[in-house]
Order: sequence, then structure tokens, then C-alpha cells
Amino acid sequence: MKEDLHIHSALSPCADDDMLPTNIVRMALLNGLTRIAVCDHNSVANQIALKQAADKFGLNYGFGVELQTLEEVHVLGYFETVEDILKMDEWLCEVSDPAPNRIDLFGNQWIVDQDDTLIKQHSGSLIRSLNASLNQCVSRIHACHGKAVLAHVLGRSNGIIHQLAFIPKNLAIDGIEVNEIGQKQELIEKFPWLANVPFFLNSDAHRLIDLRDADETDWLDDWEILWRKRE
Amino acid sequence: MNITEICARSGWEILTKSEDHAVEGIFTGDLLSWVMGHAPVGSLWITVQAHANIVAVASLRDLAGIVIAHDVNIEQETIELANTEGVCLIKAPQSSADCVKILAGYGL
Repeated sequence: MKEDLHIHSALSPCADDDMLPTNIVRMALLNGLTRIAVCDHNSVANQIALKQAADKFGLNYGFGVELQTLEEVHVLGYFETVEDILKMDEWLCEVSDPAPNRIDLFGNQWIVDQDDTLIKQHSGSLIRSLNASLNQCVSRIHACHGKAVLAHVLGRSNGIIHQLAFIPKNLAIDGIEVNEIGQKQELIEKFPWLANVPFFLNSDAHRLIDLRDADETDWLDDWEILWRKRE
Repeated sequence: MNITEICARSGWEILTKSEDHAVEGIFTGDLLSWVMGHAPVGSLWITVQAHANIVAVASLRDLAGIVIAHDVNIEQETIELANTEGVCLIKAPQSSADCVKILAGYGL
């Protein structure tokens, strides 16, 4: 399956302001993708609008979020139902830093509807770490029936290897995201217990032109494998 | 100077049951990948990271101990692993910079 499971919408301060539901869905379809998941930083405020836009155009959609833990590790949470993301949202409100966003420094945090209408700015600063450790974030994702995937693990900013030096053997992780296909083998050699864990290659797109394209040659695991609906 | 003496003077709390170690210097850093490559043997490492991986890093570099600064919450898993590995964990209310100043005041 040709999927891109890590895209940012205009809610993420670092993403372009035109990362709006219809734009993202139409770009994904233009690129020949069969499913997308948008994972904004520390918030699920645009998830329902994104799902509605994807439904309207017949594109599969997976609910997602990218959490920044106290250790400044980025971990992706994926969910199947609206109820689960609403449960996640309640918890995110509890553990989010209440400090206001500085738009001049960090960028806009647009909450939008399915027709790309700008509704309001998310007030809290989404670039800050949650008041929750990596273990607590993974546990909470699981408590909300979600799957936890370590984001860009060999990335130079906020990947687990950079922040915490290695992937702990006892971390209850459901998947690993890499930036290039060769990193999968490199990681399995270093951490053999990852051999049976699904691996994902996503764009982490903050701009429309960065979404994955079905013409690309490198693909790893997909949404159904993450949820163990297919081996 | 050893860990016990440092903690007696500073009022910092030792969280583990490991044996006393001589402290030969100070190192600070919160990026574990960096600390793993650079912390000198025998140094007392000051950090705000409290994930259990700090124990492995301290063990690998043969550090005198870890000061977890700024009253950061420490998960039980980290303390248990430190006890298993014989790594000394210390909790301090001050920021990393103020911990360094305190230690420098002791001539370290």
C-alpha cells in the first residue's frame, strides 16, 4: 500500500499555513497515495476535519498525533476511532504546557474545518514538551487503544537515538519510523529485538510538495500491518 | 571528594544503595547520545534527563554518579535499574548550572 502516515497540518506551528485538509487530501490523491495520517505536534484538534475531508474524496485516513515527551523524544500515536482521539485530547489538555504560542517566533497553529476554513489559533504553545515521560506517553496511547511508533528514530532532532542514545529493550513500542529505507537494517543490526516490529517510511511533510508519491520506489510497512490486520 | 561527602554538604538526596565513589570531575549534558560519547570516566554527570537509559550511559562511561537536577520526576524504573547496575543516582532541587556552581565551590 502506498501510504504516508506522518504529515503535519497547519495546526503544527512549523508547518505551512496551506497544509489544510482539502489541500492535503487532494495532494495525496494527486500523488497516488492510498492512505494518509496527519500527526500534528501534541494536539488532535484538526483530526476530525482531516478525516471528513479524506472521506469526502474517498481517501483512507488514520487518526494520528506526534507527541513530544519530557525527554524531547518524538513519538507518534495512531488511533482508529473518534472516541479514542477524544480520550487522547482530554489527556493532552492535562499534560500540555499552558504557555501561549508566540506566533512571531514559532508560526501559526490553525484549527480548521473540513472545507479549509480557518476557525481559530490553538492558544497553547505546541512546540513545547508535554509534561509526560516517554513511558507515560506510550502507556497513554495504549490506554486510548492506539499504536505507538517512534518517530524519525535516527533523525538529528528529537529522534530517540539522539535524545536517549539507544532504544530500550523494554519499551512497548508498536513501530519504528525511519527517514530512509537503509536505516531499517542498520537499526535491526544494533537492536535485534526490533526484527519483528513494523517499520514505516513517511514524509514528515510540513509542506504540500513534500508528501510521499506513489512513484517512489522505497516502501516499508503500512497501516494494516501496524494494526496486525495483515501479516 | 566522594559522593557521600558531596551529598552531606549539599543536602542532595542519594536515591540508590550503590557503594561510594570518588568524584574526579563534573560533566553536564541532556543529550544522551552526546554524553555517551564525551563524558570523562569518574565524572559526576548532571542532567535533567531521568529516563532509565541514563543508567546505561553512566555505566558505559564508568561515571561516578548521576545528579538529576531541578527536581525532575524520576520514574521508579530508573531507580531500580540504577540499583541493579550499581549506578549512584542523586536528586537535586537546583538547576544544572547551580549544581555546577555548588560543586565548583567544593573545589571540583
